[in-house]
Amino acid sequence: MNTTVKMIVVLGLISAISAGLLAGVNMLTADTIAANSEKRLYDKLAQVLDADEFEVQEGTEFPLWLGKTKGEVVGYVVRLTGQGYSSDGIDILVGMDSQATVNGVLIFSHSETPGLGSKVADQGYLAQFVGKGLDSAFVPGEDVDAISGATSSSMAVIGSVRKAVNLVGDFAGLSESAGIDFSSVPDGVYTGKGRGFGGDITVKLTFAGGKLTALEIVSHSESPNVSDPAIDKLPQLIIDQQTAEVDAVSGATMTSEGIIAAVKDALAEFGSGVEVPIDLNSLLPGKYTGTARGFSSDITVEVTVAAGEILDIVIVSEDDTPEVSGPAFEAIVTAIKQEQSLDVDLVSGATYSSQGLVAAVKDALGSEGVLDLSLLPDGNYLGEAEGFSRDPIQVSFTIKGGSIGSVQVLSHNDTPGRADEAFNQIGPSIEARQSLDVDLVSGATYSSQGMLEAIINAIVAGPRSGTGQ
Amino acid sequence: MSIFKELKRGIILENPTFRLVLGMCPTLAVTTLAINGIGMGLATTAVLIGSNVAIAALKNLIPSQVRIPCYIVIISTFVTIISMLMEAYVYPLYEALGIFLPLIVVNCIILGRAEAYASKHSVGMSALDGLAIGLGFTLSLTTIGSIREILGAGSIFGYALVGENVTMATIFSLPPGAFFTLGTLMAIINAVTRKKSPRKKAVAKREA
Repeated sequence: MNTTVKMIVVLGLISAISAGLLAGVNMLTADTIAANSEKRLYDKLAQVLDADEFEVQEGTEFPLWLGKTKGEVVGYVVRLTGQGYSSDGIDILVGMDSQATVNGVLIFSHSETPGLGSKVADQGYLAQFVGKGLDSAFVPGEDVDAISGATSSSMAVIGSVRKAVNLVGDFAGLSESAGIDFSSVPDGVYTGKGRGFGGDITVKLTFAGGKLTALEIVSHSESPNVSDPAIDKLPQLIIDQQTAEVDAVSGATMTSEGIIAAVKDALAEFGSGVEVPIDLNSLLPGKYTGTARGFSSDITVEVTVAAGEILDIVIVSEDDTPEVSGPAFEAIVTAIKQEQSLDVDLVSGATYSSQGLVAAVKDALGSEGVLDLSLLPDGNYLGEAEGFSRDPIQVSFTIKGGSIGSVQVLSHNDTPGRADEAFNQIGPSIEARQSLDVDLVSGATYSSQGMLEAIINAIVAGPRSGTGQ
Repeated sequence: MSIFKELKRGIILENPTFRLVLGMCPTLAVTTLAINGIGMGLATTAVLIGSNVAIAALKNLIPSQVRIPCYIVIISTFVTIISMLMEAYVYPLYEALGIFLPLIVVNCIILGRAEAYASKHSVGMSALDGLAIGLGFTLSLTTIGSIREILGAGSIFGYALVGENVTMATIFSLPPGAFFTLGTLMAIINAVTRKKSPRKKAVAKREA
């Protein structure tokens, strides 16, 4: 009995003294540890983003700091954990400017294999991300490098940086594809590609009755088992929610993101992103061809533009139900010519055909057209462009009654003899063919090209007023 | 017994790594770099001296039935103290040692010395034993760490020895490299000491 009491007392006493000692040391070091940890964090934040102060943003999926200088938000820092080779993950800080362009990347901590995976923490490797942003693909071997022998670690870092950029893009409202309205997608089958973990994922989307009815993953090279949850669940999730803005399936994030990207890619033309309106004045006079999907087939149009105006729209081929689409096409063509804009009302009862036609015209105006000299207004034209030498080649020509006269080279500083010979050959040949589609003179290619560019510049500049014959 | 003899015993004759083959877990795991070896060795030394002294001082008070729990409480207290101090003042090393720092608690060298030495000797001698064994451990870990760092990463204590374009035998930085290095070193030490065995026997006789 006595020994039992002694045992309890001694062990209890030793434990109590130990607890006291630990409490004492803890009091002594707790503040230093906390201060160190905060200082380390802010030191690292400052390494990836140059800002006076950092403010924690609450309520985001990942820790996000707003970098501020003089009260203005100058950038963002996101802290992410990427799943590399080691199960501990790679703790990454990504600093970005206000446009979500990467400013600096830093590995906060990692447990990757020393000498292999640990190379991803080298500044030399991380520096490649600087300048990458929302428009970067983050595809290894294309715009970013992966370290050979450390693919998992590299992919974790690349994926994290991409995620950070997208996160800030979403947060700051910079992302272009701010949600595609599935109900506005014409019925049909669409395919698209997105980058997953192992490579491209191809998806096939079927729309019917203004809804996404089927999503099939046509091909992928994702890891078996690991990617299964995403491949099994995500398509149904996207169909159920009728949106591409779904959460990634945890454990298969890269695959999920690949599928989502593929869906967005398939529907890219229906994105509600802000589009740059086409400036008709910037288009050279000529014919432009474009194609877009109508109700049952592709619609191809040829649009004639001159002097900043849409003169004519000819439907080259279409296979949409004629009795429905015919009057609709006519109405749309008239409306576009009248409004000189693609922002026209769609014809009810033939919505898809109307949409298709407008899209085809848009596609045409965005394409490289065929210059038509007969559409140019009469007058004297003067233009210049760089030839073989740095000095400009200056040309002048006259358009009368829709036909181009002889093109004169007024001055140039290209090789005498050789260049002159070229100019003398090209000038008459343009006049003879009434087209700029003439053969370049071999041995004087730059001079020939310079002359043609000068002519185009003259056309863009328009006829010189007051000098007409 | 002189201090020198004690140190020689701890570092060479009873080297915890190569002779007693104790504490293999941290030996294999943290010795990727020389500095990790020194850090781990010194942290263990500090705990070893502390626990040896405490246990030697309390040896008459601790009932033999509960001596193991008592030792563990004492050892873990020292380990936690060292760990907190390191986190506060030498953070990079704290980070490098990672999980193996708290695991000093279960390092069999410490419990082994407590049981085999400190519970039978005076406070002074136990402190000296802790120092000697600790230095032996530190030296072994640093040697293994240096070899692995030179072969695996081409540097020593973080200073690069070769150009950036030289490919090093990375396997020495990986777990198998720890076994290669340890095995080779142990073989060399055994070969050397066997040659010297007549003298060692003589020393042993004189000591006895």
